[in-house]
Amino acid sequence: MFINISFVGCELPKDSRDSVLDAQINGLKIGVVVNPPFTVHDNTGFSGSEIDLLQEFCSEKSITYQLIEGTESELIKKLNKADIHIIIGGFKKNTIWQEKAGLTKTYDEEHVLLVPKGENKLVMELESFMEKNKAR
Amino acid sequence: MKITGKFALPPYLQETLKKAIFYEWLTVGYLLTVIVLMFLVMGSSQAMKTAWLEDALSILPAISFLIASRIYNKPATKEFPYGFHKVFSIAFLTGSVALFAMGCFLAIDSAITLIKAERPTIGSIYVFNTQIWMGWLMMLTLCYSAFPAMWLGYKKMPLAKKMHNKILFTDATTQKADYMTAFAAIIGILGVGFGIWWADASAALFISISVIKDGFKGLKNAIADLMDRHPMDVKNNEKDNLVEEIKKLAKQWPWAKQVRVRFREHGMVYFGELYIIPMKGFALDGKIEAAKDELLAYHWKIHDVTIMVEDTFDENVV
Repeated sequence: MFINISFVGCELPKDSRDSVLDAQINGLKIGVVVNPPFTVHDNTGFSGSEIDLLQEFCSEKSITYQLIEGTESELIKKLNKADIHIIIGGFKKNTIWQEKAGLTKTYDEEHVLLVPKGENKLVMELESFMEKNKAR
Repeated sequence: MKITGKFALPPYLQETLKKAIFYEWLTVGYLLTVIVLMFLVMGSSQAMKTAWLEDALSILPAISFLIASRIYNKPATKEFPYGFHKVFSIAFLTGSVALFAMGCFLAIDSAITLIKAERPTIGSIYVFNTQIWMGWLMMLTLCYSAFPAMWLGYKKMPLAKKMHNKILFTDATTQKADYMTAFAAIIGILGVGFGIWWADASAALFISISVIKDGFKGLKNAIADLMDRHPMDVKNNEKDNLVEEIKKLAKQWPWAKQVRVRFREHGMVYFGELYIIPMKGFALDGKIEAAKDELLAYHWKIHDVTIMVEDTFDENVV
């Protein structure tokens, strides 16, 4: 029984909507709320600390990504319909969206990323990456 | 004014009471650690929130017992001529009301979570550089909230039966059944781990229904006791045979032709009346006093008896 649990332990948690699997197949869809210096959109394209963070995440996982710009409320709606996997834009851990979205832990003691509620595998993957990133 | 006599538990029960008080202090200390730990790992899980509130509430019977056990045997006063025994019944009632009300709140809250199809997000924590899903910590904490509680329940149960103490009995039964709550919550969180989003809220709903059930049962009994129903046995919630025994005993008195009895519970002890039609020609001098002493000595639970001598029984005396 114990071996069984620890075996399953490596597999848990799973996503309730298979976000990680979907991102591996179709690419990670990232909602971007422009909020310098975390997220910047100018004529050279997207940049900013959180964009860099997720670019690195995707290259480490060898997955493609797609950036979708929008307002907070537009992107939250998309997030809840599982049209996108993640929203970035310098959200703080006490963000007003914590009722509507799942939060990762902070990557710098203050800022978090928003994910669809219940996508616990995605949260695990992101948090594990953030922790490694902190150590660097 | 006639005030009821001073009450002292028989020596062997005083030991039991001391033990019960010890276990209740242990319960309070242990539950405080459970409440803090559960709060720390709770996250956004509805099942954890429900189990946490249930544990927080389960400290109430223990505290009520500890307070009541300091008050119940205070000597009766002119203002409270029947003494303070009913403090246990009041503690029992308040505990049950709290349990019932919280159960209703939790059931509604969990149902709303379920209907809104809210998916719980449970993140991770780093312990010694190893990423651990918070769900595992929740399950571990739930185990901690269940097993010692069960042990305490098993320890308190026989003490409650010996002392005829309903609040202690309820406390012990609830704690013995606490593994059900923890088990349900573990299933809920394991479900979330497997991506079954509704497992969490369903487990929470199941737990709230069991809280409502416990609360309602307690509430029914507490109200009935305060309404002075026939004394009930703590063990099986059936009419206590002691009343019938008293009647049989009184019928054996040679001077008693017909006997009717009536008793009510005051916490752990009974107060009551005997109505007796005496045999014609018997001199009653001293008999009533001796009868009363015999009854009070018969069982420690019989604390206060009034003996009424009547010529006939009216229809209301059964």
